[in-house]
Amino acid sequence: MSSIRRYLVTVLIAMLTLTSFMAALQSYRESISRADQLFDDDLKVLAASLLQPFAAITPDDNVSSVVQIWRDKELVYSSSNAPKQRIEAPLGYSEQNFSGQRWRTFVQISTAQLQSSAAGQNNPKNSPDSKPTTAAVNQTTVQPELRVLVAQPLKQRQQLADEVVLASIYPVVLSLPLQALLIWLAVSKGLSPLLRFAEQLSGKKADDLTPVSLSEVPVELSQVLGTTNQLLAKLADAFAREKRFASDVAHELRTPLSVLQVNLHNAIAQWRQAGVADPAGLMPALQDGVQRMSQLIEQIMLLNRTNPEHFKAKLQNFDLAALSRDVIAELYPEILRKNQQVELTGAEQMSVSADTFAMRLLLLNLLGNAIKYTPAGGQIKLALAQQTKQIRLTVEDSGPGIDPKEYQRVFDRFYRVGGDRHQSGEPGSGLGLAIVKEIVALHGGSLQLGPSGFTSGLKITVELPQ
Amino acid sequence: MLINTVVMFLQELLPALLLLSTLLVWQRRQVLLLLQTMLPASFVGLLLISSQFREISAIADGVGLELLYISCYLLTFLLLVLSVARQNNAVAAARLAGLAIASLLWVNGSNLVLFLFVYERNLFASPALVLGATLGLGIGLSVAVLWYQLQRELLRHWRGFFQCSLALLAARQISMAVMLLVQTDWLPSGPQLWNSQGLLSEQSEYGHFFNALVGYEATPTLVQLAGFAAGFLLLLWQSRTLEVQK
Repeated sequence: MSSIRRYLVTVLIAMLTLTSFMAALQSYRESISRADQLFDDDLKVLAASLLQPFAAITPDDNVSSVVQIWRDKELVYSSSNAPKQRIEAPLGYSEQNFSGQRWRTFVQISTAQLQSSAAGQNNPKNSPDSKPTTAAVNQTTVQPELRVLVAQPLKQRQQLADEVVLASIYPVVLSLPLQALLIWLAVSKGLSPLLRFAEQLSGKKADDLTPVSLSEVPVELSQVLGTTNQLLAKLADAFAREKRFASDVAHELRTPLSVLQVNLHNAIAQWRQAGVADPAGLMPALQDGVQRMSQLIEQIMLLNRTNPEHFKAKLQNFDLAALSRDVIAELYPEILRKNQQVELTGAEQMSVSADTFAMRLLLLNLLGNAIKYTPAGGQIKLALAQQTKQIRLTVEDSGPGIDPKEYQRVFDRFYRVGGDRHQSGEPGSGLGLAIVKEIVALHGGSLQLGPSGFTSGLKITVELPQ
Repeated sequence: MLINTVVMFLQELLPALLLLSTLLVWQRRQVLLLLQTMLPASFVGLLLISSQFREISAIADGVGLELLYISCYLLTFLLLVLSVARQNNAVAAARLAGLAIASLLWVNGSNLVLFLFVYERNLFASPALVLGATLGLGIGLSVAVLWYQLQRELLRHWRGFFQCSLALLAARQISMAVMLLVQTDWLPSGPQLWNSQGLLSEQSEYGHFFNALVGYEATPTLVQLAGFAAGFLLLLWQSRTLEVQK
């Protein structure tokens, strides 16, 4: 199994070693090359100064070093770039100014000893000042002083030092961008399994709980990957159980509740026929309770059915205005019972692309709630509007409305304003608006609550993209 | 001295290191087995050759070492072919691959031993030699590590890359053997095909790299190129069904 740490450590060390060593080699070569130039110059000077007989002009004028050789006051050799006058400098190393620049000089003096048969005889190079002694015959005579001066411009030395140092540093500096590029490539490559893992996770859809698989899993990631896949599997199981549980429970409860309702209805009828009294009025309350439980189960089943994680919307074009009219007609007996006024505004025909079943459920819940919580004689308004890229559906009523602080919470499952002591006294499950919210989410729309245009009441605006 | 040592180390170590890193890509699950075969075989072979330098050199009118090297290059190629041929037997393939590297190290290691202990008697007295050896070894190892990783990365995109890489390295051994055979007049040199010295010097770092990889010669002869092509095609054909371990 590969390892990100091992890969990064080995590759980075290899890259840094390679670039550093290559830079060092290059520096060495460049420095040697510069030093060779200096030594070559010295060779030229040496060769020129040893030319026999001493020539006043060196064959190569490109040499910057200066040489002067004096025998006492006689100039016996001078390099071409040397001044004509004598360069005064102390013995050994020193720094002097001449020819318009500063020089590093080295002076050496030698005293040649010659055997001569007679004082001053056969010695044409004797200086005029030399005075042979009277007992000079067959004696050793001290020859005139031979003074050699060699000078190099300080500027050249500085330049050479700069060149050598720069030659050493340049390859190192130039290798830095290369090192940076290589490090970037190595780190990117080393971390690519993490990136692929993150991409797979973020690319998953809400209902995709399949395991994440990578072609090559580094040792550092294997535990994370294993744990993530275990969690995904557990989550998938939990979702499946939840889905089955809600559906199964609702189905299982619906049948006995239906039987209970029928039996309760029959029992009340038989009691009435038999003249059995119900002084405490318990039977209608029991009937209401069973009715409410049936509605709750229906709502739970619908909520489960419209859950975006389970429900696949089948978008199709249909006439929303016609659907609205159908829903109003379906709810009309209740509207009539409460003597309410319902108004439908908007176009006669409005083609929309949505899931028909879900939109019918949305309208049933919104209008049902408005009817339920609007007092008798109240007003309800359903407005449809076609906009450029969306449709707007508004339901307003003249009921008591909802405190704006509660706007967010009313979409929570099983939440009812005021809890069980709902002011309206109407039975409800607290799931209607939760279902509406899921249907809107299913279509990628938005939902807003606000005060209605009547003196009191609630306005619910649904916007669905088209 | 420094440059000479670096060049010597690169020239001698890089071919074996590149072959090792290539075979490690193939034998990732048998790394230990490969090393367990390669290291003792290299050590024993080098010891034997180093102790018998004079005697070997004197064989066949003074070309004994060349003949030994030719044998080692050909043996390396043969072992690589056998290793690929035994790909279904992982243990045998790994051992043969380890022996192939060892036989190459006999040549390159012998040259290094000659350089270090025969020509340079004051081995550790020269800082330039120690530094040069360090630089050469460091560069060689770094190139081998990067070559290994590059091969693994390229394998993701091109499955046949490893086969080509191995075939090139194997053909290089044939090319080197042919070159020595020409030098010892056992083979006619034939016409020189081109001169790319100006384009890529054999003595440059890149020249050494390509020599280690494909036996690069700036002035190859026809017989050398023919040997290289034959070796390349043979191993490529042999490794057509080779599966690289992931």
